[in-house]
Amino acid sequence: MTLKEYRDNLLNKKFSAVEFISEIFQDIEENKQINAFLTLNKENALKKAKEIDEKIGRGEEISILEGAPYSVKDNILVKGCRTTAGSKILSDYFATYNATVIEKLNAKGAIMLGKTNLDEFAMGSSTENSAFGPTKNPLNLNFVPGGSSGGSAAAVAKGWGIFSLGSDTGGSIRQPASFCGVFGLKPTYGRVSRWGLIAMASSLDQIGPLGKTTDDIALILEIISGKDELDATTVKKDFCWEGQFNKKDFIRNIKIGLPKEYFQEGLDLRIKHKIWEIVTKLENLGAKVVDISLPLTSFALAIYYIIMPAEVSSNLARYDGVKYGYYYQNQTSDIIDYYAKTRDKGFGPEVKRRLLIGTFVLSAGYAEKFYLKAQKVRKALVGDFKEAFSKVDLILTPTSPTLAFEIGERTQDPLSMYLADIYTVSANLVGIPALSIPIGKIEKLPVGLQLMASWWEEEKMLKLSKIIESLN
Amino acid sequence: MKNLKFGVCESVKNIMNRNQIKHLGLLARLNITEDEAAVLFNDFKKIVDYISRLNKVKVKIKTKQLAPNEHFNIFRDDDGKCLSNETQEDILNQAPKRKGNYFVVKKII
Repeated sequence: MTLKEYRDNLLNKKFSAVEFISEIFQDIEENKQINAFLTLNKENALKKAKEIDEKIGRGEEISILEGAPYSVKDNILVKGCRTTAGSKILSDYFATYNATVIEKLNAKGAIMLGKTNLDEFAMGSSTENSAFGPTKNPLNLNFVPGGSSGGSAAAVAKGWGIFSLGSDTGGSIRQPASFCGVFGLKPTYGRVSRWGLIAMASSLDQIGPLGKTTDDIALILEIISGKDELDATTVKKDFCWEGQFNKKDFIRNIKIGLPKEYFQEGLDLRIKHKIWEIVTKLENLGAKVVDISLPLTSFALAIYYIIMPAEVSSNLARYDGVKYGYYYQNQTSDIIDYYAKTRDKGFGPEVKRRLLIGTFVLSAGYAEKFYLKAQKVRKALVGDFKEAFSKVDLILTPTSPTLAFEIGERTQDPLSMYLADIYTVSANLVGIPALSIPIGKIEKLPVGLQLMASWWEEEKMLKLSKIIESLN
Repeated sequence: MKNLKFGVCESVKNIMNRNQIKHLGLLARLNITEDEAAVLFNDFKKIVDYISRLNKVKVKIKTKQLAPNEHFNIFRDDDGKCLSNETQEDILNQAPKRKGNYFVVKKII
């Protein structure tokens, strides 16, 4: 159900907000094995739903988002709500303030259903790294939902809320959106405030929406975006979604680039064919499609796995068992021993792995060889994309080289798990917006198509998304 | 750890051993056991090998260009904010140990 359909149904009294939201909670209860939620906000949600129903009963107007149920990835702070980031070290942490995105959605009257599961501190591509057990793909319980926003993608796919908020550091919104057959948007770096997002890698993190339609995620972006005094990286640029536009004119004036590096070895041929079908349809509608090259693509993942862990090692230094969270309760020899034992027991294996890699690439003797080199190649990658966007309006690729994989298939080999993000990390490294669009299924598993746009050009990307949506 | 050449599989053997993993653990404030070091060492080999491919890339970018001029500091007034007593209590109550309005830290010196 879309935001508009939900609102129309409420106003036409097809169902009440209390009925609709109660059914969601019942369905979540009956499908516990999916493990999409870590905390439910049942009492508050039903109380708010009752208020909306009463408002409608009095004949008052309600805005588009009023009473709309949604979920939030559990690395985004909601005041008074348990916020774990999928980690044992925060298993009993209760947020003392709201993230800016939550404040904005509250102001519009949206109803938060609960906090969704994720890879610990958003580090992973399958949601198997959660300290609270993996989330399962609702389309086939033997498969992963992708990650790290796997709980959010699974929740949206199941209709447990009309939309969800996730975070994307290297593909963590788009890849699970692709695996679960929903839309997932990573905005331009600086478009959405990260105040209240538990930081993973600060030069890469962005909050974004997952939903069932282009219109829904565009509308949510409009609401959550904007300059925020509490996040110095936000930029004063308005985003306003006009869902009605002349599609014929738009498609005839659009130039789409297909980077050859994204269609080479490693890509599932069945996915390639699905993408090709869409490209052919767009061409038939009048779009210009050209081959382009992004020569540094094969190095993007290596840049990412240097810069991201370096930032992780700094951001996660704050978890020390002094101010909040899990702490080691037995005897320790000194404060260093206390920190080390607290962190050793509190963090899971993937977080430790990244902390060590981050410490390594920043350590004396290696910082220049790895970290500085990665920053230089990152800068060159930005140049690649600038060059590409001087020739085309949008870049079209698959979101993931493979379909959803089986639970447990990649957990023993971290590098094979990292490769799941090979098509998504570049957008984070260069800061551009990117979006995953569901374009059908192969063997009952969804396929995602990725669009990338130049900095701040979400509107163009979402307009093409709306056209692609109508092709399905 | 001197005169290392990266970009080939052999490099990892040269730059990493299990003791170094444990040393990195100390720097990262992680208590790495022998068993953990053995597993992490194997992961490290693969990952460092993979990221070493960057050494094959030739870029003309200089270090000083890495502070791009589109990024600039944003300053705000250095004025304090008063938290409500309730928020202050919420924050302090999550500490493992508190004394009045202070966090209790293990003795450092």
